[in-house]
Amino acid sequence: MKRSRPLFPPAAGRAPLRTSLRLALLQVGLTTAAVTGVEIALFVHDGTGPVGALVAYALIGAGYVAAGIVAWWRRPSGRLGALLCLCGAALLGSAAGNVANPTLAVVGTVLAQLPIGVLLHLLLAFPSGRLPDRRSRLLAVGGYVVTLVLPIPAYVFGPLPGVPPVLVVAERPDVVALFARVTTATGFLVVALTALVLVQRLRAADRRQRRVLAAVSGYGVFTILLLTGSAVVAWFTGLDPFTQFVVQMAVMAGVPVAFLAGLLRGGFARTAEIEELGAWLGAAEAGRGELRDALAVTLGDPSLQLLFWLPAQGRHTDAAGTSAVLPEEGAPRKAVEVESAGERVGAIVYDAVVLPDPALVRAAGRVVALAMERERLTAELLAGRAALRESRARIVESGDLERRRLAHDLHDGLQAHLVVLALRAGQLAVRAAPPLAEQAEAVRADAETAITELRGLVHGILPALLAQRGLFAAVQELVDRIPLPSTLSLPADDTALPAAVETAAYFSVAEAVANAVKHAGAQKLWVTLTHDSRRLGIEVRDDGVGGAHLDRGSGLRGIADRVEALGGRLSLASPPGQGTRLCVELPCES
Amino acid sequence: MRVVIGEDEALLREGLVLLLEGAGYEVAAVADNAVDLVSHASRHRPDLVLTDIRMPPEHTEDGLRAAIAIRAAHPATAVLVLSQYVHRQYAQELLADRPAGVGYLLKQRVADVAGFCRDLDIVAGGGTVLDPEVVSAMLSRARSGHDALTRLTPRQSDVIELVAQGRTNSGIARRLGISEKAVVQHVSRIYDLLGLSITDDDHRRVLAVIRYLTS
Repeated sequence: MKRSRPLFPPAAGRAPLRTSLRLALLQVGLTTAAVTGVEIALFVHDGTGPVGALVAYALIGAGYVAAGIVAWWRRPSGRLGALLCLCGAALLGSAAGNVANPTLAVVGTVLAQLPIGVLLHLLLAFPSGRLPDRRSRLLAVGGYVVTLVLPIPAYVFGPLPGVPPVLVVAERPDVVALFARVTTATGFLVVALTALVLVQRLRAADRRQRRVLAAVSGYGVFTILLLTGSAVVAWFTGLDPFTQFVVQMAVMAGVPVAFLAGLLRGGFARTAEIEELGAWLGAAEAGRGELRDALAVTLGDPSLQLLFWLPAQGRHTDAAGTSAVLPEEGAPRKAVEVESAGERVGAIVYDAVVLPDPALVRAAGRVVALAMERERLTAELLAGRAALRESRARIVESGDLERRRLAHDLHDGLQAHLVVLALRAGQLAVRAAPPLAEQAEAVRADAETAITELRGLVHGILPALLAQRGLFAAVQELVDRIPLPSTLSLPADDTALPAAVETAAYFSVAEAVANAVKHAGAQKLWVTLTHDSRRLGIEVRDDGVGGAHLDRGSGLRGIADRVEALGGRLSLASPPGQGTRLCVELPCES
Repeated sequence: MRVVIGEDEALLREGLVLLLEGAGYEVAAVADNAVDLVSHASRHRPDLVLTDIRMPPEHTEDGLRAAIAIRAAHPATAVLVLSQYVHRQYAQELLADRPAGVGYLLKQRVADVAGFCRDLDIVAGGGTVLDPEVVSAMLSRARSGHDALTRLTPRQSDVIELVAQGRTNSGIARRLGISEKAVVQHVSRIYDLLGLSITDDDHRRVLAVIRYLTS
């Protein structure tokens, strides 16, 4: 789409909220960098495992925070950025357990499983960052219980290798083993239910959303299954914690990658605060369609639609004036009504997966209500125009029907009776004595004149050949009767066209031919008809004096009206002294 | 002469029966639709079938299709077609098979009883009769296109127009107010222009008409 000016003017880019968000994110970034730096220094100095792997661990955590900052900046109204940062923090915290320092080791032990819990939360909350329903909230809580609470007995009732036993209250290997099983079972249940929820969401999503959701959810489910799977493997095979840890980290490192893929695939448009939208509305004289674009960008839903309420017709319309309906209750798309000064203006239709919180949409609706009212008036005008066009087409069609009926009635009724009258007069003329015979002969002649005139009249209303053999045969006959050398070119296929189109086309040719013969003093004439599946093209050209005009007394004005009423186009080129060329295009879906 | 009539309008059908019987023709059968007309023609094998173009069952060109079918099935039966309108396309279709024993007239021509009976006889005798309307339409088309025909003088055009209407030389002479000898000269000149040899006079007249009208 071509734009004459930037969607958000530079002045609006310096809104105070935006600046404050930038400062906050800068601090988060700097703090994370500092913590990661210190942690890496400690690993090099006092690490309890291979330095390379530990440094990688810390860097993965920092990577989560970096991805979180990007998401937070690009979509401040969502919470996914915050969640990603939390996940990064959890990773950095659990990494601290690998430093030979009692305090840090304790912190690391307590937080060891937390990243998995946050990851689960992250997946359930994608893409908005909010948990959309009760079961996903329960599953997220379940994830935190499994990763934060259920592991407690493991370090309270027995020492873990390489960790100072400061938290141990009693040596109870049986309790440890029991809780290990409970953790595994509960963990699996939570993960399986989460996977189920994600698959259901994927199936409910439309095609465009599905790409985004599939990239992230697919990888997320895969990750969690592998993480918990490797734990099970460790429990049952006695795989050493270090190898287990390396595998988990490798897989975990992919998660922000999958997330960024989702981010770049359209789930997260560049966004700005609603406040900025207000600033833009104040600064710019919005054109048609730009309000929708601005709202779509602001709310981060590219599929967003604006519908306008037409009070006179009691229905909604889109910006182009086409009739539209609000989504039904329970559909994946939702609508928020917009009012201005207590009057119904229209509705914002949005994707409830991308925007689960209607309050946000409603707030945006309040900001744009006035601008929407302005666009509503335009849409109302356009809808009125569409209705007018349809009604014109209906009038033309009913007029044609009337023509056909009239021609039929005249032909079968009056014309037939006149022939009988002429025949009787003729027979009387043959049988009667001279004075009466002459009068009967005169009656016959009068009747024949009447028949000839009536035939001309009926032909003018609707040529018999047009009704019986269609447009191409009728035009052939018409051109046959032109007293000028003429070239006729007809389409090869002889498909039937809608009656209104045939009538309009026939009279277009007839009018142009009549002008060429009567007024243009033409010596030659060319008539060309072309036809494809969508439209019928007509061209009538002569080498006459030109100077024909649509509005100068000719029947061309009526033809143009008829053509336009059917959604067609008529153009006339008639420069003085250079002949006349009439082109007509008529839509004909067949 | 035995005639079968096809006409769906009852008053006109009765009028035609009266006209033909009054003029000494034998009406073998009448039909009010195209289907019956074809079967009557097969059963009675009349000398001539007289039919309206627009007839049931479809009220479009049923009579024309019936006439073409009858001509194809019974070459000995002449066909005269009547219509409220005359179209060159219909004339061409009627003549396409064999330009003999065929006529195509506006319905109103029946009122001129003597003229109509003469046309009936020409067609029944193997001649060709075309309505002046369709002939003039074809002439104007012919003038605007065909090379040989554009070389005809106005007088020659008048002559061939009357030939096409089935007039004899004497009839043409009377109509144009010239001598019969002059008509013969015009006709010969037209034959030359159309590239027809002087062998069988009647047949040539028909050929000239056909050459003229279907060019």
